[in-house]
Amino acid sequence: MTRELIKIMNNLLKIKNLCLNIKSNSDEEILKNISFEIKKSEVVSLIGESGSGKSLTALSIIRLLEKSCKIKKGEIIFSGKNILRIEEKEMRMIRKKDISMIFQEPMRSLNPVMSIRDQLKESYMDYNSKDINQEIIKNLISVGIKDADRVINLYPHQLSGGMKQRVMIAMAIACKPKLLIADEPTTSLDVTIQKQVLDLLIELKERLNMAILFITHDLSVASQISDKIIVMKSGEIIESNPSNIFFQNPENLYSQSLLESSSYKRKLKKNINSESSDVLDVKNLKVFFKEKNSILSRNFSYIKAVDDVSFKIKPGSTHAIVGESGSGKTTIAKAIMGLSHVTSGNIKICNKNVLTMNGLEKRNFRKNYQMIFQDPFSSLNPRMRVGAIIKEGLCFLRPELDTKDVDKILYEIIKNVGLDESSLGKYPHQFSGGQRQRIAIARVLVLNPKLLICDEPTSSLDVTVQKQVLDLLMEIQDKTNISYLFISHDIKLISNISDTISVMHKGKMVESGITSDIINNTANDYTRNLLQSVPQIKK
Amino acid sequence: MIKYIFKRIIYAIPILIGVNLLTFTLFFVVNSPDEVARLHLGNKRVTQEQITSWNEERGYNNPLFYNSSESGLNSFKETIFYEKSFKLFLFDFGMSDSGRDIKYDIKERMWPSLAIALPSLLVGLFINITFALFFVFFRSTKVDYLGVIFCVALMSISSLFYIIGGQYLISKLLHLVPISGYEHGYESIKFLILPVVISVIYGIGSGTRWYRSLFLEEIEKDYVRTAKSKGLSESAVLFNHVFKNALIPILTGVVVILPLLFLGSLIVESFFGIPGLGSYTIDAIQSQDFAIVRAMVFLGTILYILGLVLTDISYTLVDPRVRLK
Amino acid sequence: MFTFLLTDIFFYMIVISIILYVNYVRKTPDIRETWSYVFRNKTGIISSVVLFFFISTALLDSIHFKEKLYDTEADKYVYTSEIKSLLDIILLPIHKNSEKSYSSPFSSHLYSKETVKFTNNKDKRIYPDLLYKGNHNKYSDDNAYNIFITGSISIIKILVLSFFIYIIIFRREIFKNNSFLDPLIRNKVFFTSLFSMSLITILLYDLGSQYYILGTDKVGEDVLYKSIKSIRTGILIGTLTTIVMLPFAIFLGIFAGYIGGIVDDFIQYIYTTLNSIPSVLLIASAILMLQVYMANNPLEFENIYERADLRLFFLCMILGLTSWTGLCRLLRGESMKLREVEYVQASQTFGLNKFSIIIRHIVPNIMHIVIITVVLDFSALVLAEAVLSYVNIGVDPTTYSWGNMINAARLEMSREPVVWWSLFSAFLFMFVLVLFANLFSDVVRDAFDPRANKNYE
Repeated sequence: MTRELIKIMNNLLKIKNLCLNIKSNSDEEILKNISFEIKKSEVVSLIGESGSGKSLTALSIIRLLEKSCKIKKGEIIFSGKNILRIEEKEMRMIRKKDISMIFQEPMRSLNPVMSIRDQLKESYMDYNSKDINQEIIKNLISVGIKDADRVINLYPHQLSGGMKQRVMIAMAIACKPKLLIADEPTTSLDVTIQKQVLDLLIELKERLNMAILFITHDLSVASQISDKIIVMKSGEIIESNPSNIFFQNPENLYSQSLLESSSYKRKLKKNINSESSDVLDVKNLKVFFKEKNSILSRNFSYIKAVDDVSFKIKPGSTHAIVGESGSGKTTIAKAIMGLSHVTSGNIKICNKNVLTMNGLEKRNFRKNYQMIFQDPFSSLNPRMRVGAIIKEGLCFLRPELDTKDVDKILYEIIKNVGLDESSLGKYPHQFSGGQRQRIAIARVLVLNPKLLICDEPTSSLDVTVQKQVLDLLMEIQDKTNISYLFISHDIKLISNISDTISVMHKGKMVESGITSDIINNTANDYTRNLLQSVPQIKK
Repeated sequence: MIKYIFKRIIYAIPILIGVNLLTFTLFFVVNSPDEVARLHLGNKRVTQEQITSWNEERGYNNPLFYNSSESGLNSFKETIFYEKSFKLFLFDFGMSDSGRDIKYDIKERMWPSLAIALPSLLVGLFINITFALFFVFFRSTKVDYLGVIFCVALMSISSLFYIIGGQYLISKLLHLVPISGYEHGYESIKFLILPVVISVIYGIGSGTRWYRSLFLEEIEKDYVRTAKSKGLSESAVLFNHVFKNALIPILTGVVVILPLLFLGSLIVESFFGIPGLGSYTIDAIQSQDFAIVRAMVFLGTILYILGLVLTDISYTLVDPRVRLK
Repeated sequence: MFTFLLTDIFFYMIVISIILYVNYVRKTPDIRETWSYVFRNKTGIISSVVLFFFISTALLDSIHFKEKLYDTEADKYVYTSEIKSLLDIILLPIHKNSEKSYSSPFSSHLYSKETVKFTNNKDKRIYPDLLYKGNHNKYSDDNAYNIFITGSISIIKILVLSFFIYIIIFRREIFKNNSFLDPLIRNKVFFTSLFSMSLITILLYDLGSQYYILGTDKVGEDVLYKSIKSIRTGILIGTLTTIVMLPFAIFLGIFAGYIGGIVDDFIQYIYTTLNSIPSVLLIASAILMLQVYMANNPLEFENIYERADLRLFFLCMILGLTSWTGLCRLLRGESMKLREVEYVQASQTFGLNKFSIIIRHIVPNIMHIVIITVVLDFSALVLAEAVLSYVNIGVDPTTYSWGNMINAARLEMSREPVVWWSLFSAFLFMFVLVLFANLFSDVVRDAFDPRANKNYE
């Protein structure tokens, strides 16, 4: 019924043929003929991968583009006015009253030296009125901050990420805007917090009767909230459809692949030989970091980053460690690789204790276990050629090889990860994120490790690229019977690729076992909460 | 807080010891006191007796570290190290090589130094920040571009030219204020104006550019975009948000040099004949009065460390994120 | 016979290392890209051309030799104790002779009246004519006309020269395929600035041999010549100091940052200690002690040239030893950051030792900070020289330097009528060098600093 009502109402925002380019390069258009409409109290999701121009579209609407960008042509009509034509002063009034925006990084989007009160005050029209305090507190309570009269006096750094995003939302809705632009508002948040923020947005939308332009790369998040889906790719709109039609039957091929990639399914699962001995055996691992209270006193307090964690990995299988930020999952990886100290416990790889090895032994043994990192942009030295990067470990850990052998291995491996031979002479900045991650995989694969630790290897990549990298990893596993220790925050992804799983929470292992058992009928409250928070595509 | 200050003072001790050892090595080990004495007495045809008596008058006749002719504690006390270096810790600066009480001179001379340095700092700060805000407000325009070029040009002129040129222009050609000299009390103002004006002008180039870059760095940050999306005007964003954040590095940068203001400016004071610590130091360097130079090195170090402590404290006052442990 | 002064050798080393670095840049695409930003930028290219002229002058002034003379008494060739540079030979028409005392720029007579005996035994107070320049016009007796003709001839000379250079060098095919030189050759700003600088050089030379363009000083020496000779001092102080400082800053900074622990504590202690002494006082103390040492050991420094040179060298050493702390702290911070970066951690998982990681990963990734600091410090050091010389703790009083010129100008400024040109010349040369060095360093910083804001510059 509501949907029909919306149709009757007229448009709130109408974008017509918006074209945008960068001043220094006037030939290349970053936005090409963008046209769409937002009706009153409608939620429109703008979906696209990085660089598709979705944020630029949003910033054009609120006229906060960087000075290097220039709108070449087009109209943005809001409440009957072309906001590209009006004076800056009038535009400020629109920002104040009618259009608000929330951003991706709540930490960086709040002024660090102003109290929450002062920052919220600025959002009101009449910020000198006496009962402004009451207004602010009421507003904060309405976005789900219970102890608002305490929070109002705090500074941003004293709040958690979710709280900060709530404050941002409170700021945005203070003037009861007609349109709220939300630019990836949940991307930097943990999945449980993400759900809370999404629920809040849905609730506010109903209550305040405002339209939302929701920008995201995550289809399942978009499906929770939107009435209409617009898909962008390299500056163009390639599909625009009502939500229910889009998720059931996307028209465009690219949209289909997006939809497909967003729920990654492993093609083939091998039977794991449970008889064979473990590749990795972690027992009662503890990693504590000392925190000095003061130089002079002898009291130390400990941060228990990893507290009593044990798990095993069979050859050829994938074990996943899943947890939210700060749960200690990366510390486990670092402890295994020897990048972090170990307070107590045992780490055995192929039945050898790596913690008690001496230098030479370790050097000979290192090629058996390797790691790939989360960010392919910082895991490759920008000053080295790809060939040298891949060669580095090979030359050091297998000094018996001569140059000819090394070159042969290089050519072979670069093809195996799906790159050109000519890539070896190039520098990392000449590659895209996905290609860089392939290089990082090649770097460790040349050593033929038995165990590969993957620390969020896909989380900084676009969904379609994510799929390709995962495909590559799975293909390698099928071929070489390598074991993976997969570290991720994404329980949905994990449930599709791993054989066994451990759930971490605040340094402790909450649960560990076979993936299907845990996903389908977990006994643990935390795991259940985690699973329920994962947004599923609503069809 | 008191605990923190106490701790910082304890940290400062090894640094002071290091500085002390360094100056001691420079002044007494690289060249022996005899050689210094020979230089003062005029190099050629100096007899050993003259050197010995010169050294005796100034207390340089003792051994460096250990006096074997004395016994007990005195064998350490009756040494150059104890007399000339260790006593600095007790703020006993002793006598200068020309026989004046250094502590008395410092007490007398630090006020004129401050009378120039403090107004220069404050006026300069005000002017530089105003200019910087002005350029930032007009960023990416011709005004900003020309402003930066102008600042670079100002920076490229040696301080000596500002002083000589300013003296020539204002005092000699226009006869507005006296060229140099100093009087105590309110009369001093007419002597202070020119040095202060010149110090301020000299600082405009680098100061404005530095503050401008601080503002620009802040203006790039995400919270500025948030503030704009709230519908605030450009000037409100600049003053309420950017300025408040940029104030932290500006303020702490100022606080760290506050104690050092007592030391004055070497060349300004000597050009204008202001009897401050700066000209005191220059005179000491030019007449090779090493006792004064040593005292000034020690004093400078203490003031610098004091500046660091004050900086840390000022952080807690202006930045809500910082709490001293 | 060539003689190598201590600073010459170091200066050659600097020039050679610049050449090696250019070669390295040519081979490394990403650094070449960064540098080509500098040379695509208008300000960048103009300032590099100007700096090139200054550095070339300094280089010509660093090729020293002693002249061979025929000693009639001993009946053999001997070497003079006087050390000359290639620049002295080139500039011979400018500085060959000295007048008696002050004369103002382009003047034909001395600045102050003197009593001159005339043939009819009548004493008269007149401005005596200059002996060597100012009234030996080549083309016309009218000064303005003569200057105009001289200037025109200079312009023709430079036009002909640039035409031949264009024909001989730049039309060659080799440059067409060179990605670094080709855009440079097609750059109009580059050519305009190159042309103007050459024109200025030739004009100064041609006019300078007929006039005292910038007047003469107290002992009648050409001020233009003095200012040009001072270039070497300024540039040496700006470059040699950084060369002295770099090893300390780089090694200690990286060790402190990467290895951490007690090494870090120790290095931090050293630079905090050095840092807490006001730098002027530290430099003053060190130089005072050097003066005492040199005064007491006169035998070791026989030749006044070598003595002055040694003092210049020690000045650079002392400035270097007192100024490494800032860069060291920057590098320490950056190395600490890099230690946590994933590509360094990836190498650690290969078990690479600390030394190889430092060489392979840390050093190449901190070089941009080093480059920014070196160009940024240059102008500050040139300015510092003047101040130090004023306080008498700078270069030797016999060394040509802008600081010494300014120092002398203090008295000249209080003369009646005022002698302004020494100060003006020192100001002009120093200002041009420092200004373009500053502009250059701005562009370099923009190019190399990842945080720099290219939108606003």
